[in-house]
Amino acid sequence: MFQRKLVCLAAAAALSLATLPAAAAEKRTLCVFDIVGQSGDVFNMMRDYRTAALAWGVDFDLKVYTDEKITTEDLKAGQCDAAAITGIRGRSLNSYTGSLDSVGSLPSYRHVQEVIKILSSGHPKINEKLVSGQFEVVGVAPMGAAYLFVKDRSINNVNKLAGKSISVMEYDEAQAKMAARVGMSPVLSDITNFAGRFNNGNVDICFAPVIAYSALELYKGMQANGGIVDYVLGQLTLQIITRHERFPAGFGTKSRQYILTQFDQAMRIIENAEQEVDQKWWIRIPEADRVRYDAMMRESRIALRDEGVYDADMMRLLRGVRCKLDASRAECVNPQE
Amino acid sequence: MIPTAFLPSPSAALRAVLLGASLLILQGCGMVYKTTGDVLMGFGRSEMLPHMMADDDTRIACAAGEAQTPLLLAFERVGSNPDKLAVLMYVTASSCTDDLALEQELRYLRAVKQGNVGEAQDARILQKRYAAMSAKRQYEAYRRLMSAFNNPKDGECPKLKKEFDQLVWMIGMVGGVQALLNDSVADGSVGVPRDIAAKVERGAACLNNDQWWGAPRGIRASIWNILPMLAPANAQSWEELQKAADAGFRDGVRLGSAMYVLAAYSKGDDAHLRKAIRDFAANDKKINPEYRMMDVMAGSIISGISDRMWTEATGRRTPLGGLGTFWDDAAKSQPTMNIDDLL
Repeated sequence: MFQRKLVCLAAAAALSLATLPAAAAEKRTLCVFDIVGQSGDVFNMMRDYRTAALAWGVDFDLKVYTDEKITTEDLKAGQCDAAAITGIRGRSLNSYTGSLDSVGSLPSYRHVQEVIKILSSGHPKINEKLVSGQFEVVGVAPMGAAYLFVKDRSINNVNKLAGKSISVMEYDEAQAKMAARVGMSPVLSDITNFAGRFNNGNVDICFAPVIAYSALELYKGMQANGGIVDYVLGQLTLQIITRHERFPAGFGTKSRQYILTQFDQAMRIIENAEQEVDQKWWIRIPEADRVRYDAMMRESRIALRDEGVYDADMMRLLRGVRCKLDASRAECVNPQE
Repeated sequence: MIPTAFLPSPSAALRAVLLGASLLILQGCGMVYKTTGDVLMGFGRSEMLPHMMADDDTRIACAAGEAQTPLLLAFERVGSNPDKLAVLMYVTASSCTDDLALEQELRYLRAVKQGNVGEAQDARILQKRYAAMSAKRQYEAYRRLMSAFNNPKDGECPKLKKEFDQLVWMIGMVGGVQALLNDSVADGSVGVPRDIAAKVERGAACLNNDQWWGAPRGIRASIWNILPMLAPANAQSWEELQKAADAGFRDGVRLGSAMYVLAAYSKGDDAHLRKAIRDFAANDKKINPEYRMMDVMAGSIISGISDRMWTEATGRRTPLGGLGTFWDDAAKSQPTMNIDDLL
C-alpha cells in the first residue's frame, strides 16, 4: 500500500514537472539585429526560435535592434544574454564561424547547407570551435549570396576593376583589403549609405547581398548599362551567439539543430529576392575566367588568413567541403588552406 | 374577361419567348451585365463609399469587403473596370484577416508566457496563414492600384484630380506597405516585391499632405524611420511623424498617428511608442464625420499594437477603455498630496 502511494506520488511529481515548463524556463534576453526592426524577416524567425527555446528551458525576451554595432556591443557588455547578428559582425566574437563569410569560399547554397549541417552535427571537435571565451555560436542560418553590382557592364573582368571606386562595409576588414588588392579605391560605408552611394553614382561598384537588390533598389544604380557580376563573392550568414554560461547545458546543440531545420524557411526569403532580379542584369562570366577568379579568391583568403583576419581551421573545413562536392577543383590537388 | 384577340396564339407566344431568349443570349447578356457593372461601379464610388467612410463599424466593413469583392470583380469578365474600387475592397477585406492574424499573435504571446510550447507553435502557424492571406489581398490591392492608374513610371505621379482617385491612391499605398509587412510574418510565402517600400515612399509624395490630414508625409516618414537608407539627407523622421500625428488630430483623421505608432513599434522604441499611443487616445474628441472609417482603421492598428504590448507584459490585452494606459502606470489611487504635510 505504502509502495503504491509512493509510486503514485512519484508519477504525480513527474507529471507536474513535465507540464510545468513555464516555471522551469529561465528568463533570458535575446537581442535581435534586424535592419527593418520588429517587422523584418530576422525578427520574425526569432519569434519562432523563442518558442522552440521554451522547450529547452529558456524563455527569451526578444529585444529588437536596428543598429548591429550596438547589438554586438550590448552582447559583449552583458546587456544581452544572446544576440542574433551577421557572421561578419560576429567575427570579433568567434573567428571560426566569423570566417564563414570569407571571400569566394562557399560558391553555392548547397555548400552553405553542408557547412551548416557540419556545424550542427554535435561533433566534439566542431563543438569546441563554436565556443570562444564566454561566447558560443548556437545557430547559423543563410542570409544570401553577395555579388558585385557594377554601374558599367564593361567591368566584366577583374583587370577592369583597377581604379574603380567601391563601397565596402567599414567594419569588415576583409572587404577593404580585397578591394585594395585588385587596385580598387574602397569607400568605407555603412548599411545606411552604401546603396545610396551606388544609386547616386558616387561609387562605381558596390558589394552587396542579393537580398538588397529590390529593397534598396540597386537596379537604379545599374541603369542603364550596369549589371551584377555572376560570381558569388561571399555568403552572408545570420548567427545566434550566446553567453554560454547563462544557458543550461546542452542548449547550444539543441539550438543549432533547430536552426538547421529552419534552413529552407530562410532560403525561401533568399529565393524570393533572387527571383526579383531581372535576368538582364546578370553579367555571365566565361568558365575560364571563373576558374581564374577561384584561384584569385583562394590567394586572397590565404593572405587574409595569414594576416589573422580569417580562421585557418575554418578555411580548411571550407576547402574540404568544396572538394567533397567537386573534387575536380584545382585547389583539391594542392591544398593550401 | 380578357378579349382573346389581344392574346397571342400559343405557338406565336412560344416563338416570341424563344426569340427574346435567343436575343438575350446572343447579345443581351453582355450588354446588360456590363451596364449593370458600370452602374454598380458608379454607385459604389458615389454612394456606397461615402456611406462606408462615414461609418465606424470595422466588422461591417470587413464583412462587406470579403462578401462584395467577388461580386464586384465578376463584372470585370463583362468589360467593366473595377480596379479602383477593388483597391478599397481588397484592403478592407484584408482587415478581416489582419484581425484573425492578430488574435493568433496574442494567443502565441499568451502561450509563450504560460510556457505552452505546442500551443505557441500552433498559434504561430495560424498567424502565418492569416498573414499570408492578408499579404495576398493587400498586394492584389497594390497591383490593381498600379493597373488602375496605368502603371505610372517610377517617380512620376498619375493624374489624381478627383478626391476619389486620391483616396484610392492613398489606401493602395498603405496596402502596399501592409502587404510587405504581412509577407514578412508569413515567412515570405507570398513573395511580395521588396521595393514596394521605396515606391510607396515616392508615391505618397503625389498627394497633397494638408488635404489628407498629414497622412502622406506620415507614410513617408514612417518608411524613413524604418528604412533610413530610403530617407533624404537630414530627414528628421520623428519630427515629421509628430507633425503628421498633429495634423491628424487637428483634422480629425488620425492616420498620421498610426504611422507614428507603426514606426515606433517596428523600431522597438518604447518611449516613442507609448507617447504616440497616449497622444492618439487623448485626441479622440474631434473626429471628421465624413472619414470616420479611416480614423477607426487607424485606431485598429494602434489598439492592435497596444494589445501586443499588454499581452506580452501581463498575458491579457488592453482593458476596455484603456487605450493610452499601460500596465505599469503609476496607480491613480495613490494620493497626489504628500501625506506628511497634512499630518
